[in-house]
Amino acid sequence: MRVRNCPPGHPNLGGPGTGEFVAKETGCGGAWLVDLEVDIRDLLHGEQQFVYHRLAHAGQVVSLTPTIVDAYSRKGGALQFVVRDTAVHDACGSPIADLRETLVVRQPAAAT
Amino acid sequence: MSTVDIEVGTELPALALPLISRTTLALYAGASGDHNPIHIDLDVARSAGYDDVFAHGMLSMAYLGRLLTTWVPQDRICSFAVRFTAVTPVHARPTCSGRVVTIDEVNGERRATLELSVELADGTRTLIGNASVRIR
Repeated sequence: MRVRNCPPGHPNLGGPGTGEFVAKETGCGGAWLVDLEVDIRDLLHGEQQFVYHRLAHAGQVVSLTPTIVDAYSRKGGALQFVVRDTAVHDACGSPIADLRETLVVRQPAAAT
Repeated sequence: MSTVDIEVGTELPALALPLISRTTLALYAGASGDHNPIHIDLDVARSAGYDDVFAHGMLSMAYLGRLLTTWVPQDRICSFAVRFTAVTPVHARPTCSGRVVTIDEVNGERRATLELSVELADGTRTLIGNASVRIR
């Protein structure tokens, strides 16, 4: 395997604990929700988890690998849940953090 | 606080936040990359059946992260998880709190498990969660 350049960045300038979420929002965006035909107005954030492996810091290039791992509905279809995991790695492939989010999509039309 | 003093039942110093204004929400939308208009555009909020805009859940989680990192350095935090239990209306004043519930030995390290919560002035609990923190 070719050794990739892994710029050191600024290790003394650590990111906030929720910074990987920001990387995901800005890097991955919401196009996947459009693909799922989710009306973004009906979206609620149900749960969010972070497991940290090493500190993310300024100047790093990170890669994000999002995967939908579960989807289910509750309340007779009035609420739909999507669980998505996102692995965050640095440019050398070392793990930085694992994220899990549970998104809730309200389905007002189903709540009859 | 020196982590030597941490024991089961230790309370983190509560973090009382200022009122969440519409400006706070606009700035957080830009800072976080979460541009969902439900949090910043009253017309969109009303079109979805809400009376007004409400805060991003991650804004409260970020405040809770501040509670943690005011207490221990970021690199001591092993995990951090929350459940969003109620929406945070614009103009709310959240307070973050946390408490040590267990201390365990994991892979030769001492780790404290914390229970975390965010409450509004009217008593509504908007977020509950936990974190695992390395202590010495």
